[in-house]
Amino acid sequence: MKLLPIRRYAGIYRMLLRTSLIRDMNFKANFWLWIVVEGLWFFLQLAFIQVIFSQTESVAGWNKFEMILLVGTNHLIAQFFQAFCYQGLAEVPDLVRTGRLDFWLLQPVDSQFVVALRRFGADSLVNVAIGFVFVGYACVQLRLDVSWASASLYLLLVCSGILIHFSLLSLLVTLSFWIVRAQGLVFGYYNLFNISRIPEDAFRGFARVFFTWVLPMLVVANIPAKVILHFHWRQGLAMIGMSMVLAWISHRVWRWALAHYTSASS
Amino acid sequence: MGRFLRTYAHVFAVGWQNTFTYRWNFVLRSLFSFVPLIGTVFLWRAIYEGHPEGSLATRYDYPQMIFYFLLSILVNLLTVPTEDEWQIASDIRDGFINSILLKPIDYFTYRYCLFAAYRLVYTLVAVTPVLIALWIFRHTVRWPEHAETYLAFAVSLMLSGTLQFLIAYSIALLAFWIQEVSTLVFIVYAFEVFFSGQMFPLDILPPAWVTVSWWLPFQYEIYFPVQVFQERLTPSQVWGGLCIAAGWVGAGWMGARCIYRSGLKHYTAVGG
Repeated sequence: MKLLPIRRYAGIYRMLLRTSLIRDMNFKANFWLWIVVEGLWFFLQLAFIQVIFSQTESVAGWNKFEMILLVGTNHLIAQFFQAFCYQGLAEVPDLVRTGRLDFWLLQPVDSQFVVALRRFGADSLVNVAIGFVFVGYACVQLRLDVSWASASLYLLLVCSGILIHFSLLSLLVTLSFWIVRAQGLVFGYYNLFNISRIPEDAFRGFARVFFTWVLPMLVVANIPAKVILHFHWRQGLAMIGMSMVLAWISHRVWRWALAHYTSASS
Repeated sequence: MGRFLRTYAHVFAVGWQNTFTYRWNFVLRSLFSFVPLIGTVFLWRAIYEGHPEGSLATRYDYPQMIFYFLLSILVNLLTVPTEDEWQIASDIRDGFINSILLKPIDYFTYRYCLFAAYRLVYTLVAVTPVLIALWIFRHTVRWPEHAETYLAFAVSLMLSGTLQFLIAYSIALLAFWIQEVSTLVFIVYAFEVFFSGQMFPLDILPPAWVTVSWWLPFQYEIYFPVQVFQERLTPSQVWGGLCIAAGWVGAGWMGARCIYRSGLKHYTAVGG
């Protein structure tokens, strides 16, 4: 993969961010409602934890506040992902079906970059903040002594988690070059978030291998949470490596899949 | 009557063909819908494993709990509207509904036929994964002991599907007034997920919550049909539940009609 000229791409991204924000600000009510929606779903997960822990004291060795830490971490990674790349990638099947992808392919920039990052959801950042608040609350309740090293590695792993989500969804939506209408994939991806907020120790056998190495949902939030809890730095470094390999694969597959794109617009 | 049936049978066939055109989309979507089941099974197994037998304060043992979630996935596949609300909102926003208004077709019946066609294709696609899941968890499966349970389950499924369609239809009709209904869809969906029993059986909640959810429409979407199939209700509770569900369907139908009529008065046929 060619190294992207960073300054040029930073300038392009600034413009994409600006146009996306202007677009969102035209629908202010919608902007606030999305914050409510995402917040409501997060509180639903917390309610679920409350119900679970009204029945038991631990789940696969995780206590209630460790679970809140895990769910909070999962939420902030998912919301960062939604803020920066989800909307752009989710629209790929539609761009393919309508032929509007042509417009982006004709731009003199990397097509995966511009298609995935052209939409920015500022509303999700509010929920990122809510996620951080609950992670902090869980740390206080657990009386964790979080070192600078583990906090820095945690933030790096949050970025890796976003990169894993980005790469996986990018790989999935490239299927739309063949099956045209792939909206089911995008909705289906939401179902995978159900896996990432469950402790990995609860999984066994083939499912654990599959959701760690094939669709690494058990890596995304579990490893950052474990780094905060026990400073498992080796697992952290492995996750960073995995996210970079996945990003490279997703970029190669994107370029290969583009060769199968038959524009629907002409 | 014959003409009425012919017209809507044709709409049903169009919906059926349209769905098959994008069959891979449906196959992938139905496969993905089993992912939460995998997570649920492992999560509840971990919860039950952490306890010596009988110490868990629920009304369910592990096989009953897993069978509950298997059935809830099945009920969900058979009854939940998938893309209907987006399509109805898009019909209104993009002006496609104009072509329906000019024809002697009732929009509600037209959409209901399309919904039924989508559900049928979905069911056919999902049969294989459902059978596989039932085989994998065969030790948890407890078939009903009474023949009338199947009848009550079938009625509760029809009420569940119609109720869910009416909720989706009513929210989507708000597109007559507002451009973007997706936020409202997701807000209502959040309540549906919690109170329909998709996340956990509602009777593990404190009794006050169980009473409240008994009178809300959401539990008749999944929890109630599953309870009927698992024979966890007395005959009077089954009858009572079916009556409340039918009452919600009636209220939903009248509400949807009112929204549609006042929406049409407000409609300016943009894009037609």
